[in-house]
Amino acid sequence: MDRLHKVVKFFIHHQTILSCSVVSLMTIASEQIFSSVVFKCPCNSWNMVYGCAFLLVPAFILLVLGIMVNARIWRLCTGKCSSEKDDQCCPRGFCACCCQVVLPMTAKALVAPLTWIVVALFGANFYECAASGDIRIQRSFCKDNGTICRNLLLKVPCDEKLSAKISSEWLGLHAQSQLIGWFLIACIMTVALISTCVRHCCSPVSYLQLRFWKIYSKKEQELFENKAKEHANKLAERNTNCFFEPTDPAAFHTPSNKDWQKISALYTFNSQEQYYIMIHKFVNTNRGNSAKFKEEGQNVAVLEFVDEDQSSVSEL
Amino acid sequence: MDSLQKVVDFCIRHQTILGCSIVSLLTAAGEHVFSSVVFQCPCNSKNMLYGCAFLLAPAFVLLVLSFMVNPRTWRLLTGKCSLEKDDQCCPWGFRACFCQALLPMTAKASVAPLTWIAVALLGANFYECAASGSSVIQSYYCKDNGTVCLNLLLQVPCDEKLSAKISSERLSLHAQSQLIGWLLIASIITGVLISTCVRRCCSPVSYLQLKFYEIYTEKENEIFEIKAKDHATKLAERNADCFFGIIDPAEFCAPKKDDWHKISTIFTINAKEKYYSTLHRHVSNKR
Repeated sequence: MDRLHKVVKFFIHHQTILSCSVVSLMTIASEQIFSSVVFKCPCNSWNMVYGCAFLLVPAFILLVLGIMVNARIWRLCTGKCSSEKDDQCCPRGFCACCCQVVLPMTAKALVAPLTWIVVALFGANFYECAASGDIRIQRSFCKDNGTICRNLLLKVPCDEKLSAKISSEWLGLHAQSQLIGWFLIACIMTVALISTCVRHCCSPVSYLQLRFWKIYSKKEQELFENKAKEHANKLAERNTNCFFEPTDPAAFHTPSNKDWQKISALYTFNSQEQYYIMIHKFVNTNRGNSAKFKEEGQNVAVLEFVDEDQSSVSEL
Repeated sequence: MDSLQKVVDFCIRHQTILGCSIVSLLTAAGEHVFSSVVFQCPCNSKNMLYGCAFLLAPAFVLLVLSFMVNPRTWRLLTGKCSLEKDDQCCPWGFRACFCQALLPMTAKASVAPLTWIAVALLGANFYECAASGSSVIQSYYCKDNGTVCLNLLLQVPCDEKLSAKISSERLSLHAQSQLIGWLLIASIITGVLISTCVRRCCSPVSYLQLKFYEIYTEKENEIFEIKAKDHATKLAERNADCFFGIIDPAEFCAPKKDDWHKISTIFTINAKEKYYSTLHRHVSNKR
């Protein structure tokens, strides 16, 4: 039992890396399944459409799913179009909101689709099919623009020997696909490194405070969820007891809609007053009634984790 | 035990994603089993009927089952046609009822059938069989409308080499099916994203309050079931004891039919009321 406990602790401690690895393995497995069982290049003028569909549609689906599981976008959206004008959610206007919230969130959601595209490029089947129908590739392989050469090129994904015939001097489509895959990985890693450096350099707080902040944010969410469940339990018990028994319901205080709205707003950093999360600000400013609550702060990229739902994926 | 508890907690937290993945895997497995073991395209003029039956009938069955397992369906329907005019079930009229109750219910019930159709289209066997008997596809492949070409097309699902012969310039039925499948999946996902955005934007309450509302609804259902069992046990004991002469029948207070009717209506959270369910509203109005 002790060993099992240690193994579980190890998994929890390294959960980010492990979950990334699991996601990558699942992407590779599904690419293999699609490639070998489902994918059959038509080997005619429809090659490009067919190949691009298999390459890009799963990436699009993963992008949309990545956007949907991000809690920050729902924190921004929820209740925006409702009739109340008290718009705390994005006081600086739509454009600023878009740049500071939607763009970073889309960047984060791009991880899964880019993983799929990279894995699919390494597998090379989809690219080979799509590229054999592409005009530019046809021109580079068939210098004389002859129809015979073009028709042969369209058949390449269905016949391995043809590939050697056509591309004896040029890089074969299979090899092209894999080189593009490596190049894409290198670019993604470089951009990820640069953006992380920039984000951390522009952080308004120091390293250890940031670590504490992340720990606090996670604990706060866990505790808030537990307290919410306790509160819901008490309210539900009071209501059901009242229904089944001839007793009058006791007074029960629950936060008002306005209170909920105040703590649901997106977090902004204010260097004068340091609050770690909106509920911290709410509690310290007399339940949001003091003027300090309305003071605007700035959206800081490195502090995005504050609004993210670190415990559950419940948006679907 | 602690580690097992953590694993269970992880599964509960990610239950939506795990549930969707399991349903998709089961659908893919079911489609594979049907395709390879059960399905045998007749390769004659009945292709379209046979292919469509395998494509659409399981989808219809899944749609009906999804409606039946959704408790909201029965909450909406129960007692609707009874003689009493006191129609609390849908107090805002038919159109509002349709938008707020039926449409979301149908959307939720459509998940399983659309998954089946998408998986079946990616597998391509059912579509290939159905389309080879369709007059639209026949005119696409056989320009001269000759009977030889039409007969060859009907044989395509049973003979892979024929497919290459007929569709050398045109998109093969296999590829068509898969492209339609991908298009369907992409449209469904986009539709889900847009409808979730609209629903969230038009939500009358904020993000955290909505999360609390979901927690409360789940807790209330659990506790209600426990209290109902408790109450039923007490009533049954009292009646049985009385019957066997053990005790005299004591006064037993039970909720009236009107009370049950009031808490059975469908509830939607709104900004004006501070209530989280019909039960909460009913109990608070008693004060």
